Amino acid sequence: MNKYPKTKSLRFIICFTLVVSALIIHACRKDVKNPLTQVPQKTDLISAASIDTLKTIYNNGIHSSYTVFNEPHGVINFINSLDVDWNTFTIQKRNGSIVTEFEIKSDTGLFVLKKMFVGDTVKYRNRTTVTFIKFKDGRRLNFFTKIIEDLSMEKRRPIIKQLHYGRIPSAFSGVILYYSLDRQFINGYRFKNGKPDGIVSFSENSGSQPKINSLQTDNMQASCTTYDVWETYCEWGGTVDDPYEYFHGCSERYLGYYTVCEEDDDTPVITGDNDGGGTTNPCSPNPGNVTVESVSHGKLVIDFIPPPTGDDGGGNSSGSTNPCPNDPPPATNQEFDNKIQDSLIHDCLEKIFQKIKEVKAGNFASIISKLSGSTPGYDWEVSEGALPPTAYGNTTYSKVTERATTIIDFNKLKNSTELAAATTMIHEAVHSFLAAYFRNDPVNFQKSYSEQIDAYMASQTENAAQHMLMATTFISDISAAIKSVAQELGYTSIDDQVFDDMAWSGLQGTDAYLSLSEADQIRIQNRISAEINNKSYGTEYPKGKNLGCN
Amino acid sequence: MRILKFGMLFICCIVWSACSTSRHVSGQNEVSIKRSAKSKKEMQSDPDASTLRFSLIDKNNGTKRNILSLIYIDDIKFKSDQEGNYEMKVLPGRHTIRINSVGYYPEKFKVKTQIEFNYDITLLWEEKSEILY
Repeated sequence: MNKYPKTKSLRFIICFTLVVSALIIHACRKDVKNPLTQVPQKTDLISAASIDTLKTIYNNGIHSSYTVFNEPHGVINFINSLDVDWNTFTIQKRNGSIVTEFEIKSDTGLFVLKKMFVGDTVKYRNRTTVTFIKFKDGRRLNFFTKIIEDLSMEKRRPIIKQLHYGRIPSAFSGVILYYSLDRQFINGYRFKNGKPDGIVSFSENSGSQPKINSLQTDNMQASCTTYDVWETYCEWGGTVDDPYEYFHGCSERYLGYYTVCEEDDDTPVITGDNDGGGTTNPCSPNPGNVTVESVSHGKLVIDFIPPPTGDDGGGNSSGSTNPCPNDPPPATNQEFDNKIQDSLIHDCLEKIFQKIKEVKAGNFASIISKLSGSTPGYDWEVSEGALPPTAYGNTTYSKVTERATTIIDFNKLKNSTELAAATTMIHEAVHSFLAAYFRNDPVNFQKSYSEQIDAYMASQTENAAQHMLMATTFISDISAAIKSVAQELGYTSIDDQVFDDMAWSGLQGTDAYLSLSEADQIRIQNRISAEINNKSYGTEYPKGKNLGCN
Repeated sequence: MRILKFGMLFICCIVWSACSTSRHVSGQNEVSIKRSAKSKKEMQSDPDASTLRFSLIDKNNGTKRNILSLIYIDDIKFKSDQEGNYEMKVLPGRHTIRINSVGYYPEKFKVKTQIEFNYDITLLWEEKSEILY
């Protein structure tokens, strides 16, 4: 009678002991989570302001003119949706450019390269992206990419998602077409196993059946084939891995045809040696050292991006094809370096920023040189955006992207003078430099500012720490930089006291400022207010002209 | 009852063993304190003091970066070396540690030291994304 409960109790105690032990071991385990395995959650690869800039460019581009679906010349417009997923993008940092690629949501039905019948397996995949390229000389190239992956040749898994501008996986077969933002066909290429093996065009030749021609022009031989294209609005079924496995059938529409011209092996299909910005057609980039980072639905994802198909499928041309800008915009600044990513929209700000980058003398020139040089961790991006009420500009530094990002609030500065705008940008440049310097070279940072380092470290915030350093160490450099920019803008007869006073902008809370005489503080505050608001304060009236753009 | 006692003892042993490294997460940072027995030599040379060894690691990338920092042990300020390391001897008892650096979330925690042990303190330090105006 008593034996059974005792056994039951014993079992309970053993079980309880084991469970509690397991919980304790788990809770108190000695290993510390390896931070290397943690996925960074930061999404500030590019700032919201930069995306706003791209949105503006995009909206201007898509509305510049609209090409009707099926142009008179037989060009098929594969781009129909203009709905960009601004939360999903990929960035490639190249030697001479930065490529930002966004996904287009739900771009029509499925384009297929053969007529489908009920029961067929759909062996095509489509994807549409919009790509923004900013070259180091300031030029931009913006376009749509339509990818039709052809999985019909042999049994293989779709890899269309791995494909990025200039990065064609060696297993990719299909067609890549490029369209301008106003949906004008730029150029297109057919790929087989990652190799571009034909140039796509939309010729006048009619007929829906494949035609094979042989062209002999000069020394170049080319055989051209036309292919029909259908667009299907249909239902299909399959597994989660392959939702398009079975085609259930529904409406489809014959769109037309495109032509692919193959060329001799000796004649490279893909030529060109610059970053897609050449003038010959077709173009091909030399990606060089490329880092690729993706943000998917607002989360940073480091994808494995296959290298450009070279020997394993891309030939010596890097295996990637790109649209060529037919009319590249003029270079805005030949000395522009890609380490400073300039995303300013308003010309009046851009004009001042160019002058800031051209400051040649003094310590500020060294700062600009560092921010525009090739030292890792010192990248600087300047863009526009809305800021809190009292902020005209601000800067953040991300160790994920190793980049300082400055945002200038144009709406707050549009009624200010050029001197105020220049001062704001110079102030933020110093912030960017100090943030990068402290994180990337703390040993020399400590040496450079040995007298202030304790106060710097003890500051409650980095903002206060940097302002302290600016006020004690950089104030004359900031003043000299403002003067230099002002002179470049044509202000040749302004007293140095104006620049000295403007240099205190944003530093009024520092001990150094508060130690100035009351008269000096009043004069400085009036000067700053006069330039910010473009009207007189006390005895100080604005010396600069209004920014002059809306 | 014997089995019950055995079970409790077993649990105590596991607790003692498993928690010789303690870990705590406060806000954005993670602190791990690993206790290790002092060597005979250490016991002879400095019997009363335990050594606190600090390692400061960037939580974002797991690398031991050169994080300049201020370490306050019971409100006495020390500066780490340029690689973010610091070593300090303390008497047995409870100590309050604060670690500050520009650009990182500050950390504050307590450690109870005993004569027989040294302590390796690893701070996985989260960068503070501060807006600079």
